[in-house]
Amino acid sequence: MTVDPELHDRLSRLRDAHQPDRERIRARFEAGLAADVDPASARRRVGRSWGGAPARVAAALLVVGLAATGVVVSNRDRPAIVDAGGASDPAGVAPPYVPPTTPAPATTVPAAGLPPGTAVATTSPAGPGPAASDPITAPGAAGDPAAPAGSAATTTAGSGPASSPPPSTAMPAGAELCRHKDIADLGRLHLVNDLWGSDRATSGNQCVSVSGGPPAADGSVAWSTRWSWAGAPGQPKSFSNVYLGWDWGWKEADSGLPRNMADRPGIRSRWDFTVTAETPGRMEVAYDLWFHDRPDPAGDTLPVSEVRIILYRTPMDLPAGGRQGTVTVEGGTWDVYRFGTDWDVVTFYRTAPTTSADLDLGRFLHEAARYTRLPWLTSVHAGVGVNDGAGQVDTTRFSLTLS
Amino acid sequence: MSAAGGGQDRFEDFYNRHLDELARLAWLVLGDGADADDVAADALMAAWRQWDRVCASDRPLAYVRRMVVNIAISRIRTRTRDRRRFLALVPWAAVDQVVDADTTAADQDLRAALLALPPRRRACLVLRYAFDLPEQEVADLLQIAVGTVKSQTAKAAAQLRRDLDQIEVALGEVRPRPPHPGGAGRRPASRAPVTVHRSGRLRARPEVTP
Repeated sequence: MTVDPELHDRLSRLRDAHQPDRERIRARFEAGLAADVDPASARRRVGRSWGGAPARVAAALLVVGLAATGVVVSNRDRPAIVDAGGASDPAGVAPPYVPPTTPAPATTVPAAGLPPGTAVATTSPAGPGPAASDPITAPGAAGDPAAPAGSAATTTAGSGPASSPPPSTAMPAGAELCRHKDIADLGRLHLVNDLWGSDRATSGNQCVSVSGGPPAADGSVAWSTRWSWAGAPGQPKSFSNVYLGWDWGWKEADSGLPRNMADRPGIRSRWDFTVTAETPGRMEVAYDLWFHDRPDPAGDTLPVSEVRIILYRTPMDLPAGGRQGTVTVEGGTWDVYRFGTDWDVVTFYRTAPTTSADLDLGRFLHEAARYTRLPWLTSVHAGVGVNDGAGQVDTTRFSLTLS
Repeated sequence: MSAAGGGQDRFEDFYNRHLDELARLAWLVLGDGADADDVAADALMAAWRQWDRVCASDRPLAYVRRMVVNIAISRIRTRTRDRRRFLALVPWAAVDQVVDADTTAADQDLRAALLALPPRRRACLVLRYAFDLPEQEVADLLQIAVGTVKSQTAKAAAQLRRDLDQIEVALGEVRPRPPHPGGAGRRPASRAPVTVHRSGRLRARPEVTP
């Protein structure tokens, strides 16, 4: 049959005249997901598999994750890595994944047995068995050549928090910290309620609380954050996190950081959490590691690079550019992105979200070193970045071990 | 990664890869930009709900295209029912005419003419002409015979030709027109796209982040 060439030409061109509104499509798609988590529509999903093993773990934990977009940048006081017009320009609509939700009791107790090799230590107050005993920082023993003169202590040791009573009683379990930069001590770790981007919100707040009291004997901590943010959905508002080391300044002298990456420090972390979304929004649960050219950066010293490892995120637009590829690290596949602003940011997005991780973070750094310089590791953060929506993340167990 | 996780990866990939095309298909079948994006989202949602079945088909994309067309056509029917009570004008006038700042007047005419076609006939034409699908595929997609695809497409093309001329006459006084074929007169792209109602009211479309 003959085709009218002029019509063909005009229709082909017309087709491309429509620029889909990706935001709108995403929002509607996510609203569909939201409808799916409501019990009335749950029947439809019976028998449906909603994702991989991590997703199933999540299901067991009452996870309701929803919407999202925009890159949640995970730290404060710095120029947003992405702004509306810049690198963040959402080109790829978020890989829409669906956090499974079988409403289940929200009680989540990490499994009794940890995988072999888990860094969680059985703290012997007496002194460190290498690597195993100080959940935060392994004994400086065999050598922390990395220990910079200026940093009062690359924690050498057994006298670490594990062996001394954690000063965390400052904050009663359950009490909420709601102001910007409110901090709770959790042994060597600190829990900070960081609202670094909240001035972009039209309304909202975020609070953190230590849910499990002082650090457990093995040095692991439990904490919660809940938020409600509206406005500027493409912009991060807050990053509540536990961290070790530098956080635009130093809080503790004995954090065990910095470490010279040339010495290949071991960094392991175990993290179990649940996500509860009340209002669809964009959030992510991530590690955030920072690197400086010098071991003793001040509060205003720009970092050289930042490595982010995103375990869980609501569907978000990934940045238009910067995709380096997909890698398999520590049993998961990760999309790797790289941006540069005032410093390099290398981000690993887990292609399938997880709410339970036991990772050798060093392996990510090894990978990240292909894209940026990693001189001195000055901090490790682990927290929840939020753009908008309302919800809660409960970390039932978190530990971090340097060795 | 588990098989299910792989399925999810595949869906993500599918979503990213075909979103634009599916939204454009919806747009041409449906005729309204905003609605079209909703149709694409709904089709993707439906695809995700039965992703294993979509994957099991020979051509996942064809499967989801069909969803788009079906959803779009059923939406047209609903919309037509809703509007018939209020508008009894020529068919293409019953639908808001979308004026995008960066589409040409000729394109706008083309859209108006497309809107005058019965939905399934329009779908035939769009799939054949704008998406270059083979007749057999269009037949599979619309669940009609190949012969029907041929005849419907031919009729649609003829009607489109005819209506394009009528529209020119109808709109001649309303706005300056470029010479017919090719009319490349680009409108200034500085304004936000607006929807022009036949009543003359202007309605700003939702801001789209660049």
